[in-house]
Amino acid sequence: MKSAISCKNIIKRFGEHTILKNLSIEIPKGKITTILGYSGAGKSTLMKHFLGLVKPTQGSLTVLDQNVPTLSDDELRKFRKRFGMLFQYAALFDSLTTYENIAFPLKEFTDLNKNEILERVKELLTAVGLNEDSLYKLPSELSGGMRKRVGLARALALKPEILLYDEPTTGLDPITTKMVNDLITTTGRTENTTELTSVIISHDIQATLKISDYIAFLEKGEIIEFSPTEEFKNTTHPTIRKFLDLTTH
Amino acid sequence: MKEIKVGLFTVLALACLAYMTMRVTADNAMFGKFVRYKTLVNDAEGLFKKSLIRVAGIEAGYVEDIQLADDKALVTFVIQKRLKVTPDSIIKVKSVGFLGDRYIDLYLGNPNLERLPKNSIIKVDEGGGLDKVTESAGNSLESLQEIMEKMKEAIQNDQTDNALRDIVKDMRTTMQALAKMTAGNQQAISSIVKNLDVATRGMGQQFDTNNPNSVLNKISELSDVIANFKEASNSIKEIMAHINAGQGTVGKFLKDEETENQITDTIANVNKLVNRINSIEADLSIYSGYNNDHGSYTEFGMDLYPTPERFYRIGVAVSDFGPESKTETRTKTTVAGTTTVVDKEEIDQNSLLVNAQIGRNFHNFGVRAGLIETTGGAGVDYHLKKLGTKLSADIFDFGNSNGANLRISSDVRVWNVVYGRATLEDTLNDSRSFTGSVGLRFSDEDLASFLGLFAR
Amino acid sequence: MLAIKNVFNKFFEIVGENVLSKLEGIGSFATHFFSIMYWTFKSPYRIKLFIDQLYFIGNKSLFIVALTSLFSGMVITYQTYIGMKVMGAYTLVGPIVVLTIAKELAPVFSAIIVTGRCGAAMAAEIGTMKVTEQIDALEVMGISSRQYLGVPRVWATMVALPLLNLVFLFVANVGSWFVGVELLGIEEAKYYAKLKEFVDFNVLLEGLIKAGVFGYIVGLIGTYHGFKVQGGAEGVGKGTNAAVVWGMIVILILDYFLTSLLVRLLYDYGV
Repeated sequence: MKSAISCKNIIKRFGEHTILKNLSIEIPKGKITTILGYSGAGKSTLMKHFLGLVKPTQGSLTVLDQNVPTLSDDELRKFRKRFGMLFQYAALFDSLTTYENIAFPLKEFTDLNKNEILERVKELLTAVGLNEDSLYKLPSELSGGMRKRVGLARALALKPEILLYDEPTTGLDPITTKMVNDLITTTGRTENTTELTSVIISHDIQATLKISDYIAFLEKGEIIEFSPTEEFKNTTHPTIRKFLDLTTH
Repeated sequence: MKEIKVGLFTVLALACLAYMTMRVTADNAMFGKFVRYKTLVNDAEGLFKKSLIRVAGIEAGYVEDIQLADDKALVTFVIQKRLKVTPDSIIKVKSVGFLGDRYIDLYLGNPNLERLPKNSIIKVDEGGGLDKVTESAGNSLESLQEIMEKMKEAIQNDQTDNALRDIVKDMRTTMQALAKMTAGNQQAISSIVKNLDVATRGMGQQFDTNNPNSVLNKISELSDVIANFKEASNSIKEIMAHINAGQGTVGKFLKDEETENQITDTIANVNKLVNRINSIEADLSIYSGYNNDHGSYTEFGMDLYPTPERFYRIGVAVSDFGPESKTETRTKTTVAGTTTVVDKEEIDQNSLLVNAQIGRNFHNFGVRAGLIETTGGAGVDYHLKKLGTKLSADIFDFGNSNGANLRISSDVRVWNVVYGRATLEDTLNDSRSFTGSVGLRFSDEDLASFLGLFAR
Repeated sequence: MLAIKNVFNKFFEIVGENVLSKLEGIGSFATHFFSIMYWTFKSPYRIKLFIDQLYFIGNKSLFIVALTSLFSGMVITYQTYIGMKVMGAYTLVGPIVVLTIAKELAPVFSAIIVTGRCGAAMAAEIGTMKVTEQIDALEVMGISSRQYLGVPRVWATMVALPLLNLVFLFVANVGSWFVGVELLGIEEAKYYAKLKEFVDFNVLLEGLIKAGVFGYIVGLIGTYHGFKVQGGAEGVGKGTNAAVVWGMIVILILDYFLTSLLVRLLYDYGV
């Protein structure tokens, strides 16, 4: 199994606090991996490392065969184009319409003309299950679920190799949660010809168990378990067991 | 759409600027051709650079500079060229208002005299300031006060041995006698007075210098005429003698009318030319420096100013870099029956470069265009006179394969006529390089004093 | 004894912390400045964003600038007239008012108006984008948020302020002329004649240079406080407030130093 992301003995300190302690993980290519953990365990910090927004104090980090901490600012900017990210609240540009939001990366980084961009945007809207009515609406005119879909469409615009999801279903009602989960599954399995690696940060155990291929558990800055979903469900690790029992009924 | 609105806004703001600039500087004494003169005043208080010079109350020029010269102030100013300043022109410094402001009045002298050459010193009549008026008024008041005191004494005090009192007493007695005398003879007296009046008036006319027919004028005219006649007849006698003898160039010329005409014309033309040349100012400069990529660079230049605003820049530069020219040579040599052909290609960089530009000055900016280093180009200069610095930007050599040369340079006065220059070449291209040079710059005055030295 | 020692320690701790945090603030502002300058010269050049900002800062401020300048010009003329009446020097009202406005009031007032209006808007907009992760979204996409958001705003403010300054100057002079000539009865011919005597192009230039510098600073401070925002709505409010307050303080302090520098450069009064 090829690794999309490979962390070896990563330590991250912010002043006196050590957020990540000796973290090692191999995230497989083309699969959906979820990183679970309590709040404050260091999940968001870990994700920022993948993007090169934060550099590890110690340890090595290879993402898509690139040694990320050694990349220069310019190289990092080019590198980030291979990623797509869906933020917790979608982080749409609120002064731009749906069309302008999704077209944004296309206008910035491709040579497509106006018509080609419009075609691509419509394609992406269809892929996330939206119709053209919302094309010229502002984010404030969309519901939470629709915003997430638009956010995902934008993240997919440049055909990324890795998709990152930051708490995709936190705070959503059950129906929208199901919609988002379905979206992640279909996107992960059908959108690209190159293998799309999906990495999800979440503490929604139900959803995680349903959609993930692999689950990692982050506790106090360390990965204490990383295994395929079925194995993970049957883990004997006491902390994880407690977590699973608390959240599953 | 937004671009259009932003464009409109910009145009509106610039229109405001244009209008205000025109309002503030239109029909100012600052435009036109000027001639520079100087004057020495005892007190330059209240005078500033750009203080106006008036002729007959109308703005005709302005002060350029005020410097200390020993214990006086040397005021350098310019007057519009169309006004003829003559050797008998006078400068008066006058006060205006309560705020101690002063301005300069120029009284043009006799227009028949020769025009005063530029940079000459015009005489000053330093009277009439408000302070002078108040000073003399104060003096007069003091004297008046004294007199009043004396008169008071005379009238009040009978005991004092006072001449004034005596005079007053005598006057009284005389007046009383006179009154008695005239009492009976009023008619006779009035007719005498009338006749006297007529006679004196007539005499007055005869002695009035403004009356061309007065005896006084006639007499003075006559004496002038007599004197001139005497002189003239003497001179004529002499000349006639010479001419008759055919002596001297004059004698020859007088006999030959054509030569005389030619000479007059030539003299007139030479005069014109000399005046024109005199009015042109020149600045000379020579710089030598080194460029970190290309080697040494020496430049010799001359700026000619026919007027303060227009100028011509000519010069030559010798450098190791410049537009290229290729020469191919083929040499055939035959040695012992074998012929060898050698092709040589020489790339010559034009090492002798010519500058020839025409330019115009606006306040502290100068704009010019023409030949820059043997290629077409344009340039702009900004003079920071207070710091002795000039910033320039030139763009030229558009035919170069690397792209046009945008040259940015800064000239700084180090001491007196010594200047330092820092230049950035090819600013827009990757082949940027830096030249540091040192040079000498002589302004028109410097040159004049130099030439004066040699003339001695 | 120990108590006194503790008090001293606490005192130095507080002073030290304050000094260090102020130094840190200055340092991060300097970093922001260098970052803006760096990104200005890197492509892609966001011309459309620059024009959009120029429209917001320039065109949209026109009305408020014109309105304030009209009344400023009128009131200054009125007050100056009352003072000059004592000396009988009515005709000096024109040049005094024009010089005051051109050299000081126009650049400073327009800068303060723009700080209040646009500096606050910049800080609020960028701050809100920061707390809603829109800045992170930009960075994740590989776009420098300083280049996309900061550079167009800073340069647009720097270009807009001199233009607004000119409009302020013009409208204030109209107000001045109206009050002076029409209402207070100064002879129009003398009004203009005296103006020409005292006002020259250097006066306008001084005002324009000041306006340009103020514009750059206002843009810099507004964007800086926007990027610095942390912690939700309260943070945005604090950032907006800081942008306006610091903008005004820096303008007024800088005004003195700029004036003394420009007077030396542009005029020859030897002060």
